Amino acid sequence: MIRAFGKLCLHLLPIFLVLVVLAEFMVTNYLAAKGREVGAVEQKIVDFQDENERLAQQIASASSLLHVSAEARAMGFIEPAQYMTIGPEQFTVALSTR
Amino acid sequence: MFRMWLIFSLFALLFCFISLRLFYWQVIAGDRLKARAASQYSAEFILPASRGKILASDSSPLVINQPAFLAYAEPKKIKNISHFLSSVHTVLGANETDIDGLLADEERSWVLLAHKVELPVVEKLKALGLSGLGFEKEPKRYYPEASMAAHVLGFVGSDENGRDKGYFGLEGYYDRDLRGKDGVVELEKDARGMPILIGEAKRIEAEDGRTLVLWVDKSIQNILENRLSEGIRKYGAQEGSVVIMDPQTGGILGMVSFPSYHPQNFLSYEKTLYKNPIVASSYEPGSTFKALVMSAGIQEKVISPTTTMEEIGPLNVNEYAIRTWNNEYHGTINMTKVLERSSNVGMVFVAQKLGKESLLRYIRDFGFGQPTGIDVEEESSPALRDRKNWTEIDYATASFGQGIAVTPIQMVRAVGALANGGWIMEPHIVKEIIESRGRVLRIKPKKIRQVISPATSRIVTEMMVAAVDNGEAKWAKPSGYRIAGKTGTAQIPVAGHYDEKKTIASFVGFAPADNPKFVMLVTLREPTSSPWGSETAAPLFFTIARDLFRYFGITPGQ
Repeated sequence: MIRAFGKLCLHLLPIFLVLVVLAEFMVTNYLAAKGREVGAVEQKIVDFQDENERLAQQIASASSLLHVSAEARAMGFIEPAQYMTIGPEQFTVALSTR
Repeated sequence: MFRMWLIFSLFALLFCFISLRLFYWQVIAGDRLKARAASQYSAEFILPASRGKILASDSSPLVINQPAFLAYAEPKKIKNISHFLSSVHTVLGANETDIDGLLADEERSWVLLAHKVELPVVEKLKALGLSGLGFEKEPKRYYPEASMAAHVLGFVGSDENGRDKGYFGLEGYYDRDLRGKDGVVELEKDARGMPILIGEAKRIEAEDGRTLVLWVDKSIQNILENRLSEGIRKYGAQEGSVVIMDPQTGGILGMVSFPSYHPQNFLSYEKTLYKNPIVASSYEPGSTFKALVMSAGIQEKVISPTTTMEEIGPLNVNEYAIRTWNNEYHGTINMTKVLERSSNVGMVFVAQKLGKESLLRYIRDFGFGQPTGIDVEEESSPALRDRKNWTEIDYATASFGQGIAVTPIQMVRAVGALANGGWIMEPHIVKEIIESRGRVLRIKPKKIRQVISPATSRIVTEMMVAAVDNGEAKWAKPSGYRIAGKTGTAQIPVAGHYDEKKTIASFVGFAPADNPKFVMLVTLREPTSSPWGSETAAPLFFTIARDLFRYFGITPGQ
């Protein structure tokens, strides 16, 4: 039985080899052609990075003191003319329960 | 036989010739041919590193990068050169004659049109649909706060190879940290130039530049810039500067000098404006120096706040007469009154008690005559004259801050020692450096040396509080706050003598006196409304101090 099995393997070996070689060709070809997709993905990464940089610039500009103070002035905010400070010794709370 | 030898010789000659050719192609030209072959099947891409950012103390950006491009033309791909030129000129505003000749040159395959073109302009150029027009990424710096802290930041220009390089300020000092390191990708490509996934590939990632986080507080910087600008206008000064330091850490909380420039358009400004005068220009400190000499006398125990002297008239030093600033003399006065009244005669008394060697030693120990080590590119220090070149009058005038040159950063650092128990700190603008991978390097505060004891610093602090409360500038002081300070009015030396009218008015101080949050120096050069520090620099100091008290939440009496 073992001899029969061995003979069968010997007969099938060439077919198996051909199948393996064919499979390697197919996988290699598939991967080789993927280069274009890799290039496209990498380009997308670069595009997103550029977009992030552009948006970071917009955020920095919008949140800058320069912009906020200009907007505040345009909305009518002014610098206070006077400040009053209330220290702990000045602050008295009176509570009536009646 | 002869014919056999002839044929043999011919074959031998042929063999030698082929061997020599093989040697040439494989050995001499081998590397060149290998490179040519590699260029056909392999591609190399540079992964450019982003320049590091500069952030304020609250991590908000002071300097970041914005997308920009290098615009170029490929003459061989241009269909109509004149149409190309006029279209590009309309958008870029470039001078046509500069590149007309270059585009017409048949040998050229690449012509530079403009550096660092911003995105909106690039979009307009792309919309033209011109063939032969190309773009390469070339980021440029962006300043969200415009010209704020220009002298602190410096600017980015080009080196001799056209690469970005930082000049002045932090951009210059930390150029290598900010620059980063470009990466590279080498991989095999197919006939269409697409990468082959299973081919050989080598990738070295770019290392972006490090990010700097500063001690500079954006709100404080904004206060300084607004107030200094108002002050220069109000007092008719030629120039002015303000620097604020945390006396406990040496961290620079704010630093401004006018006139200034915009780092984005640095080429539009005079080159003389690039240097930060606070670290690179010297001046005679005048009476602000008196607090330091007084502290030396107290530290050496040759005087105390209650030591008295007779201020009865000008004091003669060799052939010179030392007078008080207003030529008024008050008889018996103590050292606290000497500081309150800013008496030059009193200070010469202190210097004589201290002695020449000690006075010179304390001047050096307080850090004068040498750079402070602050982390900006252009710091310089005026040298102190050699001991053997000091005359009697030099010691006398040095005691009240004339005849000696200092930089503002040296002055504020020295007075900082009076505020923090006697320690000379190394001033720093950068607090942390963040690497591209996220590791944070904290720059620890550095104590250089202790010049006076904590007890001496407390005594001198009280004397300086008295000088503010009872001195010439008391009218401007915010009520309810204990501020230690000293006015200064120094004449400007011109061609070997002092100008009669021109002065540098200054005020140096720290507050709150009992637990100082900041030490600040204000200088105004040639104020025209009044030459006196008590009427110009001092009120400006107190105006800024009021803003800072509000900002820090410091109430009167605290």
